[in-house]
Amino acid sequence: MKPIYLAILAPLAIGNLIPSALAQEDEEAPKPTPAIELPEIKYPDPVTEEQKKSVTKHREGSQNLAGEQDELSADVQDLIEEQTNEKVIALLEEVEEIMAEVIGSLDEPNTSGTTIAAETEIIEKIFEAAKQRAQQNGGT
Amino acid sequence: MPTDQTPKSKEQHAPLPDSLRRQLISFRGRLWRVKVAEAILAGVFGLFFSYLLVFGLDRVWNTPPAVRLAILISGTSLFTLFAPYWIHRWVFGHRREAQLARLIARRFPRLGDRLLGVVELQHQQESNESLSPELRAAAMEAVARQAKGRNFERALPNPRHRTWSLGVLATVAMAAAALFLVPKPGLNALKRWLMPLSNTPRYTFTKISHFNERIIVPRDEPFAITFTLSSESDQRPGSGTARFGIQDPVAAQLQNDQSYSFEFPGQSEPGRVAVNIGDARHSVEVIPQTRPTIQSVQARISYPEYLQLQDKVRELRVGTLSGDVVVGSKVSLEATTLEERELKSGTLTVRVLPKPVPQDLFDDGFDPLLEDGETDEGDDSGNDLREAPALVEEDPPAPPEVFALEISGTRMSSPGIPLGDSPLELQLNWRDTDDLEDVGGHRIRVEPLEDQKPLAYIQGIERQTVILVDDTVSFEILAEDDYGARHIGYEWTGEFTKPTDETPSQGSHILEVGGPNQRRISGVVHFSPKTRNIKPQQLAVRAFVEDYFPERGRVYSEPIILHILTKDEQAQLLKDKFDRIIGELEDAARREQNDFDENRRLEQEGAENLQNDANQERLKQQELNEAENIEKMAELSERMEELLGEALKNGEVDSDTMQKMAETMQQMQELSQQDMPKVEQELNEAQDPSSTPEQSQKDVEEAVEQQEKVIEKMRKAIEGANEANRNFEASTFVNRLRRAASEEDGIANTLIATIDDEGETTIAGTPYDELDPVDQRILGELSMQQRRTASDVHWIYEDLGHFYARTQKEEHKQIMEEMRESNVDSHLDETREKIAANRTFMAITAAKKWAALLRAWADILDPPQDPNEGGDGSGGGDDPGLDDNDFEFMLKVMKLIQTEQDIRARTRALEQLRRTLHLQDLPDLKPLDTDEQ
Repeated sequence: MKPIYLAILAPLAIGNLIPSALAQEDEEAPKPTPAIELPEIKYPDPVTEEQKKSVTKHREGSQNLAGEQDELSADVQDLIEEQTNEKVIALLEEVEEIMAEVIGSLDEPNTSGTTIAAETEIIEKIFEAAKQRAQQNGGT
Repeated sequence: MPTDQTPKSKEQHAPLPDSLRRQLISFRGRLWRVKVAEAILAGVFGLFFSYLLVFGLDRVWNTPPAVRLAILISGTSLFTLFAPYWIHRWVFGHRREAQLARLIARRFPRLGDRLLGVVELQHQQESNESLSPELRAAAMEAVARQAKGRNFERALPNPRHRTWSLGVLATVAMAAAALFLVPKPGLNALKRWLMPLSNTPRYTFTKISHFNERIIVPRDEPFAITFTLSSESDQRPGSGTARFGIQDPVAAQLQNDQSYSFEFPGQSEPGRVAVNIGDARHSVEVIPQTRPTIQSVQARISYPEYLQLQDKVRELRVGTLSGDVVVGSKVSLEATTLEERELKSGTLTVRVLPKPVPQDLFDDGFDPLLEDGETDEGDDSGNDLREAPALVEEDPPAPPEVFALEISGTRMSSPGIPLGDSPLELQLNWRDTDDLEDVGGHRIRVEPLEDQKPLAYIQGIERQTVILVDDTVSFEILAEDDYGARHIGYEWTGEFTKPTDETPSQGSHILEVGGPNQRRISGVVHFSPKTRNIKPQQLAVRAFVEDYFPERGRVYSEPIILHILTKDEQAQLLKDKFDRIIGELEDAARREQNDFDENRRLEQEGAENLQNDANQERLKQQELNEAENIEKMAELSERMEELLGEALKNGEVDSDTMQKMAETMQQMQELSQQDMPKVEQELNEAQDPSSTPEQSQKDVEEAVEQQEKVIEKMRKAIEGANEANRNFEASTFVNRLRRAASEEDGIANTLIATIDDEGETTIAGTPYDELDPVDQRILGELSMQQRRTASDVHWIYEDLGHFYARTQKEEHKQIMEEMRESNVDSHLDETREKIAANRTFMAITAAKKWAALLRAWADILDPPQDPNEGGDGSGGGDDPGLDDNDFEFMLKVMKLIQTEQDIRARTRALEQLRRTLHLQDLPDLKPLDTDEQ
């Protein structure tokens, strides 16, 4: 009876989470071989006190996100330890690596398109791991 | 002369007798005098006569120079041609005796012949034998005797010297009279006679002032030519006549202003007008021509400076300029004439028109015919109020202003006319170089519009949206303005739904900068409460837009409300939704049960009756009922799926509950997609007219059988849902207890905030009535909050009782007993009284105590996890098998994805904040309040 839940939750994950993830990916994920160069974003320098406050707010927010990403990375580490399938483990390890990259970027703080693209890749990889696990379950 | 022959003739020729010679000499002298006189008199007569002729002709018309020259030549030719000829003929042609004899012979032929014979005899040279001098002499004597008695003067040919003398006398007298009696015309005629080719104007007694000899008149339109008497005019005739070509002459009377105005009908072909006023004769060339018209009109619109827009040129094809003109603009007109007609002058008349008043179509007095300021002239009933309802009753309109146009060849342009808020009528008038005016001018109605307020609105989000602090919502801001929007952004204002010592969030953010030509701006907002440090509260978010209108400020959209919830608040919301889904699922099961009963009744009807009309109708109805139930089940499963997604997002619903919910959703999906459609199919086949009664009976039986399974499955789904709900409820007990604890903490913290750093309180110990109204209000709100918390806790206690009755779980019983023993209800009420009585410290202590206790009860249901404990501490017999591991894995994966999505959305919101940094707090933008709490 139990494998049925997997069958229930897998489409739920696809239906509720993945489409939005992929939709965002369309906007942000870098093309494998970009035909054109992405425009360089020039960030305005803060002039007024209010703008300086905003910069501080941005830095703090980004570093907080880095902390949250770090926590999530620990969750992934826990999940890896529970796994037996090599492919799933490999995928989750890739996720962990990208998460480390994102943590570094957010800590800088860098919230640009490259960071968002890396986050999109994380979502994609996690979903791939889930599919891999589902296939494994179906095969046994 | 015969004298030159004398020496020789003295010997051979016989001279004429003396008497005859004298007679002949006398005749010759007379002849010469008469004819010379005639020649001289004729010449003199010719001169005077030609002068008089010019004088006379000038009195009736303006004698042309050529005629005058001809007259002068003719007059002098008598002297220059006739006189010499006459003298030559009569003086040189009648010098000899023989010539004279012949002349006499014309009058006296016999005598003349004899005289001629005598003259010839005297020169006869014959021989002596034949010549008889005596006979010759005798013959001469005889002729002399005959001639002696004759008067030769009678032989003079037509002597007219007397006649000529009379003629000369007459002409001289007349010329003298002309010169002395009317010296001006006499001398003028003399001058014009003597110098026929000079420009000496003809003298008239009636003198006309200077006028144009060539005029251009509008084609096919009546026109007038006016002549004015000169002050030097000797005569003032009472009337004059003028005639266009061969048309009937037109008369005009002398006006008081000493002028004659001749009115002519419209002409289409050029011609001459001959004018007779007294002795003045004039001619005017008239050229009919079409009036000058406009080929094109352009309006140049100069916008007010604040709009920062370039000037705009609009071709005016109709007589109205509207839409593009805004109050404060300047409009100048530029027009070009048709057929390259050169212009001489032009004017622009500006009239201010009354402002139309926007009218309600349902007003009693509204009359659509009276729009645009038209009045109902046909209404004589005296109902003045109805005559112009669309007009504002204002001061009388300002007098029209007239401006001169700048002319350049065929082009004319007006100065810039400033536009107020009233419509204007601009009228162009012009005159070409032929002095022809336009036909009624060219009118343009200018309808300036107010610079309208921009519009901003939010789309892509519900008006009321519930989110968690970690969530990021995205929505679009759209703004439109008639003349360009400066920038768009959004503002938010928070409001706590319960008393707290914190300040509600407030702030604004400029999203996009527009421009003078940008009438539409849009931008996507990624709003993350956590990024902006916004705590759970209710936020009213409004988009705003500013245009370039001075001091207009921000124009706001309708707000959207973001309910930022804590996870336990959201869990409660999900619980309510789940309750509703279960209730509707139970309703669906009841309906299915009823349908099942009816199907069984049909089954019992037997095959022989199943195909009658009444039963067929029942079968049809059953099929419809089943279809409705399928639809309802599909909708419920969708809602369940949505709920499951939200529960997953919440993260505080335990995995067992999630598992049950997923199972229920799975069953509901199977019911709506597989099981129930089979029942519907069987019922449909049972109605097939081609089926035999036995076949129909079999279909109904199969439908009943299938439906029985459906009902069983529904029952299981309801049981599973109820079980999940109980778990949910249980976890919700945790949340409810923790929320109550949090409320108590909040009350305590608010009271603590009234104490300063030195432990002094501004309100403690002060009687309520003597408190500051602000403090009174705070205490009132806290008291109300305490009442609500007490009420919540009471309901938690009651719900626990019911829940325990159903589940018989020990931990619920334990909490219930502890709550009863602690007498929490009455103590919480006492705390409320302490707050109301301003017993600050006691209230703080009590609130803190009950917060701790409530939290401890929550921990009984959801013990805090020891980080050192790796496994599940429940120690129950429900060891998760392999499939449970899968489920756990999927849950973890989904949470990972959800959390990563949240991180990404907040990264995006932070990026937006960084990129739009320069738009914030600009000196000229001045947001109302950019504080973000």
